[in-house]
Amino acid sequence: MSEREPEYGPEVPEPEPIPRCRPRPSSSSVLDSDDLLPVILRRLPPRPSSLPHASLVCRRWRGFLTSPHFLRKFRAFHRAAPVLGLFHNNTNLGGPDHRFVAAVDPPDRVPASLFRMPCGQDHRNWRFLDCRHGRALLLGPMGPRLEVLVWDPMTGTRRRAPLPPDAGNIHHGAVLCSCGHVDDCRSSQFQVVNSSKAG
Amino acid sequence: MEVDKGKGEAEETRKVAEADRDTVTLKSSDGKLFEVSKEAAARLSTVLAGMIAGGSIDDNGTDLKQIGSEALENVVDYCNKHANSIPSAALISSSISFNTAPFKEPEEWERKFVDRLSHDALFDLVEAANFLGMERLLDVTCHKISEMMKGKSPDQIREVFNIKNDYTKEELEEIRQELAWAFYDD
Repeated sequence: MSEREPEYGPEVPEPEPIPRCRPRPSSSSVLDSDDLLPVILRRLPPRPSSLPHASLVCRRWRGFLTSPHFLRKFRAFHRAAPVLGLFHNNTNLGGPDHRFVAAVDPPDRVPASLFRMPCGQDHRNWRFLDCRHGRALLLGPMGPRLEVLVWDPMTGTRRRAPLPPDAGNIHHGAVLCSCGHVDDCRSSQFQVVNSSKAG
Repeated sequence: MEVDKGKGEAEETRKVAEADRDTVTLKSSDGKLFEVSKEAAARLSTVLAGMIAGGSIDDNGTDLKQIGSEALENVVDYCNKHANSIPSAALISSSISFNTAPFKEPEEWERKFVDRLSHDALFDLVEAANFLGMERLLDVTCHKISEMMKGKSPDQIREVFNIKNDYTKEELEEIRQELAWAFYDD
């Protein structure tokens, strides 16, 4: 058994010993190989629904498809991630904490409810400055001062930083990965650049 | 070969003669012989390149006991076609590791090459390419298998590859609910 075999609830009764997905003889040595199967699965199209669909084939496949190691390789292999949609700053559209509009059709349409604003109750006062390489940059109030928030909508990871007191009125901002797109941008360090008008 | 030559010398002579040839002869598990361009074999297969460089290529047919004649014929066919095609810039750079290399679309002739293969022949060729360290052929054949999964439901994928569903109904339902958006049009 592979170490990556996912764990399942022990309370589920098994009518027989856990079977390994057993393909027909011609394809078995390839699809049974823990080296070759991920090489094949990595080549599935980078559409949002691809991996969920394949993960329903059997437990072993799901074990591979949900492992961070596989997902890192999957992203590195396909490089350009698909555009899922866009974030907007109109709080009158769709509900104040739903600022995501999907740009693709089902079954790849990720619902706005999965990308709720990450800024707590005060989300009306936050606005998006930028979104690229899997991260979004938001600007909002923290007490009397402004702060920026870098958010990974896919994982929910957030990093906040207060702006310096002399930051002025921020008009534009960008969040940039530091890897030069040679690595997995979302796992790399990032830089935030803001520009403000003097006076 | 002269009989009075020492064994070492005779071996040396054989190796020189082998080195002068433009082709190498490969023997399948069922004893069939195939000739392939030495240059293409060395360029496309890390294993054959190592054998050629190390002088372990047998003039009478290098034994490849793990590869059947049909798969070996396809390997040789691929090498010869590759030798005759003009490689794209993307294929020349072989310094990128297979495991980390980003996706490169198969060339038109590569697509046709794998499209004509039967299900069994395709999987046998994946194994042969893996055994011989043929990164590009492995890339093209694995891409073809992933294309066979594209747009198919989990049931259809299981059917095509004869895979047993080892989920319980409850588990399947749980995953479907967790990722309901991805199964919207099922």
